[in-house]
Amino acid sequence: MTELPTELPPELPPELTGIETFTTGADKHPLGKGLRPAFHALWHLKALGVVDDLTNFGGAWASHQPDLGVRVAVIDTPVAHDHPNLEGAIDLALMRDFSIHDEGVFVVPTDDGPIRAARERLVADLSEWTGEGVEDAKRTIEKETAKNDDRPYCRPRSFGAHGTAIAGLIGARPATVDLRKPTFLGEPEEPSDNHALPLPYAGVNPFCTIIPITTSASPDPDMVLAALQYARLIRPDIVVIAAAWEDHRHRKSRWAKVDKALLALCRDSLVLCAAGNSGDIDLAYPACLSVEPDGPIAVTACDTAGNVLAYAPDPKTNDRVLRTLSSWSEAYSSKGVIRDPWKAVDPMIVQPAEDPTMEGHIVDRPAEGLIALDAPGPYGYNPSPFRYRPSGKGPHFDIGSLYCQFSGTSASTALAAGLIGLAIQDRWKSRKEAKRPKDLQPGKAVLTYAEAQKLYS
Amino acid sequence: MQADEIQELLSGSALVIDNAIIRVEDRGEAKRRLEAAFKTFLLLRDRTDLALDDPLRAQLLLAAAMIEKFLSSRSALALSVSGALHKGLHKGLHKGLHKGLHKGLHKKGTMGAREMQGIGSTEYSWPEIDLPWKHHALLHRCRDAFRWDRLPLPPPPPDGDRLGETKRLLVLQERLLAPDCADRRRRIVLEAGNDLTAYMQPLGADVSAPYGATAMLFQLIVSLGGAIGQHYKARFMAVRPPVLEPDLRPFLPVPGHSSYPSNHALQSWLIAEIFARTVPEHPGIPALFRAAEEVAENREWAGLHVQSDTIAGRKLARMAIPVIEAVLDDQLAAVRAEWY
Repeated sequence: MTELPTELPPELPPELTGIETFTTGADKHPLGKGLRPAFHALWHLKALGVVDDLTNFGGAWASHQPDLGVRVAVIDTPVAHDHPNLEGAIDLALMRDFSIHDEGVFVVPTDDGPIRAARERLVADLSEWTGEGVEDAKRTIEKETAKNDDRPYCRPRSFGAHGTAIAGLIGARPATVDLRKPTFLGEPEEPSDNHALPLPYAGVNPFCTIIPITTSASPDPDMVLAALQYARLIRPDIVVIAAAWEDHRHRKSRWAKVDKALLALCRDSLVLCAAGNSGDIDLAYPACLSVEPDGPIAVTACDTAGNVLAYAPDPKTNDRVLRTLSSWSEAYSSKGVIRDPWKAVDPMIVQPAEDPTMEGHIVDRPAEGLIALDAPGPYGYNPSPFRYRPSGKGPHFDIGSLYCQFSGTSASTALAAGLIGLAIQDRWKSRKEAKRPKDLQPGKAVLTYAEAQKLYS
Repeated sequence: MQADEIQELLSGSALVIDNAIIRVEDRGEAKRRLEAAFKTFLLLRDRTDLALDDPLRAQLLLAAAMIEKFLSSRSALALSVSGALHKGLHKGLHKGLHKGLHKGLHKKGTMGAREMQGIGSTEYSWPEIDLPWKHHALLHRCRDAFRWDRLPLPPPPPDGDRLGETKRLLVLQERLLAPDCADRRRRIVLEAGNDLTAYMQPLGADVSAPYGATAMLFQLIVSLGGAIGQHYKARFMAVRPPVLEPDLRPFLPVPGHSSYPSNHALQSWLIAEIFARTVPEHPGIPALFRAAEEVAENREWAGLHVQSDTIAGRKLARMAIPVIEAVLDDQLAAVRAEWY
């Protein structure tokens, strides 16, 4: 047994506990091939200038108020609205799913409380709602609000991972959950099986309200059209579309009505579309509509220095393409090499450093990657080993299934929505006359919190 | 939640990513525990009078064990609740990269039309299942909860309109006999028996990488989807296109059950939708949806369905997703484990 100290120090010095301050320095962690330095899950908030440091989290959030939060519609796969870090972030009344029916279905059944009240306000707006196919949708919304809808409700199950990650990067809040450890694995000093566990995760704008509008991966123009029409009805400040609805090069005329509806939505709300992850081939659809006058704004991915990442498009002739942070990935092409310096090396494969044509063109990727929320339990990108599906505050059996690594221009689009939302709220907070959210002219800005503020100054 | 509350919660602990582990380091709680252990240890360490069964002796041993644990591994003492971040996480997002990977896999399973002439079930023998009676029992047990027998599928158009739709089938019928449609003819025959090749190939599966759980899932969907479809066929009793238009010469024997909705459309769209929801962003998903569309359309080429049957099959597939996901929950977990 290790020799124990015999005197109680008056106060435990930080260097003894090693937990008073957190650094991402490699000195605290084992290193070697196959092992990476640890990093703080919220490192990107500091890199984007949202917080000054990862100890006290001072910075852009100071004096922000929840009642001045922007409303962000997320057209994506479903959002796990009962994820503990999304408590208070989701508009449960207006969240609507279009993956099962073209007319849509409210994910949360109508109650006799605030959800019904919010839907009755929506019903009052229906008379002004026009567009292809909205008459059926109007009737359905009225029936659902009056609790006369007899269709089966759809519950987000296995496929809510992407939407949940997007929502979390935009507007997650820290939370505390009930964690249950199996008794045979508990610490000897544990007084009980359950204890409160903090989940210190937050999105860029933890004051906004997110309205999930669900579509599936199916390239179905009718479904997408219905989702866009609904987005117009609920009048969000920002709309996030981090999806490719159809292969841009094979898009057929049946998508023309979707183009028209998206451009109509852009007249009312700021629409941000992920540029796609096909490298320098072209922008994904619908981000490619950013070339249209008053079209959406495409968002591509860059590193902390503003360099466009290997998988992200960088259109030279399009002025409506923002770029902001995302995770790196490895690449090996004639343009150069992005290498993971911590990856275990296979001795049978020639490494970039041994390739004379790559001399001077090798860049090491950083250890940090974006961490996002994941659908809890045995679903999503990072499924729990337990079949148990926790709800809300728990009890939870593990925390791994609540989070996942995330990347791509989808992640950048979510971060951009968070940053722009914060900048809009700044203007509202100071009662300065702000441009309308949709009036932003992005140029080719590399988006941080400070740059987002300039866009609205 | 106010800004100061958010800041307090975030600064009290940290989410740390350490290789494949994510953990919460609660700085304050860990410090309090360590201090308590030290105090206990210092108070009790000189008590030589403690009997073996004395609770105080147990406390002393626990405190000593905790300090020992801290000294041997300081990170373990931080209230460290962790979970695995799997290595395959979210790999699909880098579509550019994974398309490359997918192409590599695809080469093994995809051949040109000429090479495919000889392919039959012997080359691509996907797992087969007997009647999945347990799943069918569960499906029927879920009937009232999901109301899958009363989904709002619109009735078929009247026969006059359906007769109008057969004009297109007459055109397709002629085109199908052209030499350049040899591959389509072969696939129509293959798909008549619900062969899985059309669905498995876009995913990068072949005889060397058969993805058995996925193939099994697809077989289950074919069986359950077929049962749901038969319910609506029996309800609407729409006649087959060759009955409406005697000039049609179906490429395949005309099935005995009715026409609306198309079960092949229902089954193939269910397969694509359920797989896309189960393995989000698999790089083969766009190709899988195209394959589903083609399987459904091939039944029109064969003269067995009009277009409104196909559209109805697709609509019904979307509405049947919730019940199929509920019935096949275990199989979905197995499929996720197969790809991640």
